[in-house]
Amino acid sequence: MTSTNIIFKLLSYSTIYFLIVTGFFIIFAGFPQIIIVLKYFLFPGIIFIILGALFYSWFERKIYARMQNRIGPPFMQPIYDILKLLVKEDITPDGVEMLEFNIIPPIQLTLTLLLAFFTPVYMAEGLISFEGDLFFLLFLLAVLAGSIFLVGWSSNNPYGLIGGSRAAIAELSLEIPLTLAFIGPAILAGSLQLSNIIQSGFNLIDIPLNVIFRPDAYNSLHLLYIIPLSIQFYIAVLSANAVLEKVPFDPAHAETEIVGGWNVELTGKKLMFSHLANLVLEFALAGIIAAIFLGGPGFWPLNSFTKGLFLIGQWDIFYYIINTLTFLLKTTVVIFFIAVNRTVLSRLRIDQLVQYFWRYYLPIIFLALLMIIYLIGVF
Amino acid sequence: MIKSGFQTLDEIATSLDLKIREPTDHPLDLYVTIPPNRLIEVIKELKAKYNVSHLSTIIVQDLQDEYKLLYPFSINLSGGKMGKLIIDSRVDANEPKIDSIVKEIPGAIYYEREVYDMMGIQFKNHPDLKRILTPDSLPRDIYPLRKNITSEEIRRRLAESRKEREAEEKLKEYIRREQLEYISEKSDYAIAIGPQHPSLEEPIRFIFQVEGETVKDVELRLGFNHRGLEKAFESRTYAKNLYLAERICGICSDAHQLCYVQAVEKCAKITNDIPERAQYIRTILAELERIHSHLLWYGVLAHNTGFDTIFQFTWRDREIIMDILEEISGNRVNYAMHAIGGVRRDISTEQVAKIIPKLKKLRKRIVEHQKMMMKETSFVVRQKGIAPLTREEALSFCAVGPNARSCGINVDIRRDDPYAAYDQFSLDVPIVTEGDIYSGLVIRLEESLAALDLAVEVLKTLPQGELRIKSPRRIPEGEGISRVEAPRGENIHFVQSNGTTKPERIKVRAPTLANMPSLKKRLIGIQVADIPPVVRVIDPCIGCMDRVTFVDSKTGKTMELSGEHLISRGNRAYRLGTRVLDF
Repeated sequence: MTSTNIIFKLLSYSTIYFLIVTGFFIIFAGFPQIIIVLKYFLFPGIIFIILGALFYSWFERKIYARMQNRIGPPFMQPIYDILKLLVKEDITPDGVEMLEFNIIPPIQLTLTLLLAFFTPVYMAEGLISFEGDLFFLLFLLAVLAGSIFLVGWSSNNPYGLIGGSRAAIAELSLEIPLTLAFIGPAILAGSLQLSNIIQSGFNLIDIPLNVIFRPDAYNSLHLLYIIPLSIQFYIAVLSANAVLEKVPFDPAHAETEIVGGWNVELTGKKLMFSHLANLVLEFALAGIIAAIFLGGPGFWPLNSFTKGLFLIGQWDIFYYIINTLTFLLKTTVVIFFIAVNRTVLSRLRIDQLVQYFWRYYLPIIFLALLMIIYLIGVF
Repeated sequence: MIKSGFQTLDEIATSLDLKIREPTDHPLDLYVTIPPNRLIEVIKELKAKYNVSHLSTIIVQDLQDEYKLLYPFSINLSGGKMGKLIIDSRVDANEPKIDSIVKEIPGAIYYEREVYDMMGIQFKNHPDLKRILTPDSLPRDIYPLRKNITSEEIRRRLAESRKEREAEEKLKEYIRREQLEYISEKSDYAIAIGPQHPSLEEPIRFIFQVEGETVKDVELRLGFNHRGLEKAFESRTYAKNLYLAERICGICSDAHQLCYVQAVEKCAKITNDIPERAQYIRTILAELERIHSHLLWYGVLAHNTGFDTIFQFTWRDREIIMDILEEISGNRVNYAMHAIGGVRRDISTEQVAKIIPKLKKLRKRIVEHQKMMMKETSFVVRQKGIAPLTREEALSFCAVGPNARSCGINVDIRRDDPYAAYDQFSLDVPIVTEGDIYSGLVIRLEESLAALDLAVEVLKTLPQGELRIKSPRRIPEGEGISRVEAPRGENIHFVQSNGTTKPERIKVRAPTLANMPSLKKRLIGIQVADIPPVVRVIDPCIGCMDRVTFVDSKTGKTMELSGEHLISRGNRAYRLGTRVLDF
């Protein structure tokens, strides 16, 4: 079976499935419901998220390769990887815990897609948005780490066991610094909702723009916010490296020591689900960090001008396009930082990872938080 | 080291009341004969009086009615030289038994196991006398290097034993038992690393008993690459063996060929007649090989600790040295430069003019690598203080090469037992005392810079003259033992000639086997995450240690295989599973 064949099959199957679903909605629910279906399935839903995840995985690998003086993968490589894993034999070895081992990889993909639904793509609100969704995101990350531990445990393999327990330890270490990193912008915005944090304009790009374009509401002292925010931004990026199991914080994956760690026994479709979940998680996490620290879709003070310029009825196409493009650009920046960390640093041991997060990042992030609180008091 | 008043090996031998077997032409070699029951006593005296702790290997030769065991000890002489005191002890063929010296020289543990495996000599009071290199399916009564068994017979018996159903069941039972060892009472669980593992380039097996993340105990399994090379040497002429010797190992192929050539020259008694230009070219080749081996080493170390950027950079820059080697010899590996009595190819003036700027460019790059690695904290914290080996431990385990030098042992065969043209140049031997992985890295980086400078110096002062002298086809009866400082440490070859065109016995001891006991010591107590860098620190070259060759085991001939042929062979092996191994 050639790869073009598979692409054709997949496309035809998905098109048929899509037509059936939309047809069902047209017949039984009426036209407006189709918009919701399109939102969840096409843009900015599942298809867009998966394509974005594949694109950013290519982008990260390409930058990583170029910085190492290599050529790097061709553009279609992530898709070929997924397809290859799909056609590979799916083995469930003897001695594994059948239920957990088979069911968790698809659950991981579902969880990461749910996480990605919170990412604001074309407007401040993501597909799902409610007060306190910031903590729900962190909760989802913890659930994912738990699922990783379960896969490692259920694979009944020393490598898998070590990888799983290391992933759990890493999650315990990075959770508090990551949460505190997100808390800073949340305090400034006065809300735990992602869309409110974006609209507040307190982020690394909008603060300078606001100082320039809205001198009445902001003064140049507001630029001081950039110091604690950039500290928190970078620690959030490092935590993202740890969540995604990338160098320097990848002892849970460490292919030269424990041969891929928790996913050592996964093959075929199970590995594909797990792999795709990781790619989607990278996209979602980079998107969320970009939203919190870089302002998400659009540059807010400029955004209000463009909104007036391109208003075309209710749909406002250009406005959404500009928002989407800026969102993609900002995500690229975060991915770039992740790739740079991966290039210039070496893998740490698990005890060193714990040490770095608890002994260094936690006090630093506390100081940044205190600085934000102090600055709020000043203004 | 105690600077004793003794100038020569002869004086040491007479002071210990040892019988000198015959005088040699080489002041740093001395053969003494002692009866087997005096062995332990003499070694104790040597240890007490002359601080001798380094045993290079144990050489055994089958003389039909008795076995000749040679124990080459290194003795520091005054004047900074290191002599070889070779103790010759004979045991009866009907009752091949001798005292084990592991209690006195802990580093001899694998040498004795190797001798037991290959020649069937029993060592009394050895702590763990098991077979080490041969496969499990080899019948227990076969000792491959004995003269009464031919390689055809070994192959036939091996194939028969594999076909036997009973043996297969036994093997399965053995594997099952090994699997169960993972959940043993010794520790929480056991991890098997190897024979196939991403951090190992070559097959070797470690079984680690682990508690939490800490290694409590480790078992080693060698011999996955063993193809009976020492036996193969005996059935080929000296000229053919040149090419077999360099195929012992891919990385240090030049060191093995040089060592073999020197040993044969000692047998033929032409060591002092080698032309000076040939000596210089040998030195250049040895130094270039050291540079490319060290570059490879620290690249792979960086890869093992997850620092892939350095890995890519070093392997990119290693191409410079590979191009130079290709320019000189025509090959990237297996240079085939040495011949008995000289070298085969010349280095022309134009080549020298081309090579020197390339080496200078490489020097800049290596300094760059040094900066990148030493300044990157996340890389350094993985190395410093990990798996340290003290000087005393390294001495007792007979560590060699950079592994020994990183523990503070001031030893370098190039300086202490000079060969080729090394006695004409002053050598810069870096010594570090910490003994951890980081000091191994420092040693290799500084050594590659020193080797580069030395190579440039030798290239600039290359004298004119003959390339080689004519060597006899029939090497007169005699024995030659030769050491070179391979990139990984002391490499030792022993050749026994019998007056024909074929050698009677050739013994090869690659540096990796000498470093194995100290590696085992290092591995206990470390964390699981540190296993790959700690294994890397001795620069394991399993092919060397197990002595692999690409000789076809069916016809016994080396074959030229095209790429397509190799692919089809690979596919066939993949389809047929293990059956293809039996031919």
